[in-house]
Amino acid sequence: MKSGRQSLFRIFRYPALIFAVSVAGLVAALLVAGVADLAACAAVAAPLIATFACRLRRRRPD
Amino acid sequence: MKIETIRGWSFVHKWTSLVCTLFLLMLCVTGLPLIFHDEIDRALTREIWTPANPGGPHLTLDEILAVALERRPGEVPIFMSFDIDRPVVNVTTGPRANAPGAEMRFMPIDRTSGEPAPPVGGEGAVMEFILQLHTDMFLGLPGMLFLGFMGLLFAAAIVSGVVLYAPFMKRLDFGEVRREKSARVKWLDYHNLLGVVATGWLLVVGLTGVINTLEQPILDAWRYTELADLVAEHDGPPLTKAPASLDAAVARAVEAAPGMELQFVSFPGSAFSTDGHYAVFLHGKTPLTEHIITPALIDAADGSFEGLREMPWYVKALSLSRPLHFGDYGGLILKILWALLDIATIVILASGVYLWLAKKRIGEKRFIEEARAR
Repeated sequence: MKSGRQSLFRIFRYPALIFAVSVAGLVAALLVAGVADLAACAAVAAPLIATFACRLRRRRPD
Repeated sequence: MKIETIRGWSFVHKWTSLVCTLFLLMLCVTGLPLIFHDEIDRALTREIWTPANPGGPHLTLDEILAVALERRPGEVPIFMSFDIDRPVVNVTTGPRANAPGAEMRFMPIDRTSGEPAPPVGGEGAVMEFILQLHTDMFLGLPGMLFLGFMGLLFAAAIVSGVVLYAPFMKRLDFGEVRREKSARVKWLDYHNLLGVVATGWLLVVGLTGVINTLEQPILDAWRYTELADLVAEHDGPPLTKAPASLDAAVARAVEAAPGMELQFVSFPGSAFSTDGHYAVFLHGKTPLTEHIITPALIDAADGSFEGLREMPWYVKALSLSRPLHFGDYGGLILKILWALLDIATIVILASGVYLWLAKKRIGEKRFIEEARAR
């Protein structure tokens, strides 16, 4: 939790990254086949990975 | 952001979401089984079907057509399509080539024997019901366009949600969920987290869904402009003698389009052809071009090649929006991811309704203050 206010860059840096990665994955999965498809799927999974990462981070004892 | 600005965006977010939420929930729930339609279709087929002569030679397309017409005396062929996973040719017939859908009859035929084959998914048509509910709610074009409008509202709700994300996250880390606070605040944090991480997927699936609802107008536009031009260039009198060999027609079309393969055939007089031509629709072989079809016109009287025309951009956009909407273009892993993101969307929608009810109960001002406080 932050004591002060955050800039828009700080607020949106992770969401923007996840947006770019997941959309790139969606398009890449349409363009590639075979093993590259797995990489594309991993990119599509970015929102789910980020959600679970956030949950795990919060559960970790300080 | 000033409180008045937040209120303005909150108004947009609230009403665009509320109006479309019920329909979006229906689309998410019906969309879930549709993601796995291939797997469910296979499971619903009562008995495991095998061709009469597995690995045996295939009947020619002309032989299959003759078998189909023998079984439907007095009818004419309209379309011929091909199953991907089994040696089955599907022949659609009707009383006339331009018969409406309700008068068409679909006949899967075993390509190794000419015997009838069971339709994929059996006779139960459960998936057909779900697909129609998802596509147009059994209301035809008005239903499709209505759902398209709901999709646009959904896109507006996503954009306004992203704008509202900033003021609520000023004092919070990315992904922070304030479990120690009230249930309202906790669910607001989950709603914000899931919504913001899934923004890309939600926008792609939502907007491609909107494009899909325009399928009929898009195909009509193509039929009345590009196809009409192609037909006008080559149109002649209706076929009066026995048509040329279908196999030869398909072979000529494939020969004229290297790197493409057969998808379906539209017979003379049908909606996708002229009175005197076979329209042979081909698709590419790469992951991208396999979704894009190209028609080749073959003179049905003498089997000569007449022309090949690429689909216009708006039909290509429609063709690409289908896989991007249904998520069936990257194997089972992508389908599972699609299903998980679909479930996440249901959580976002349900939590949105819960937050709206909570806000009504305690008042907007207190809700905003509570949500913005650490």
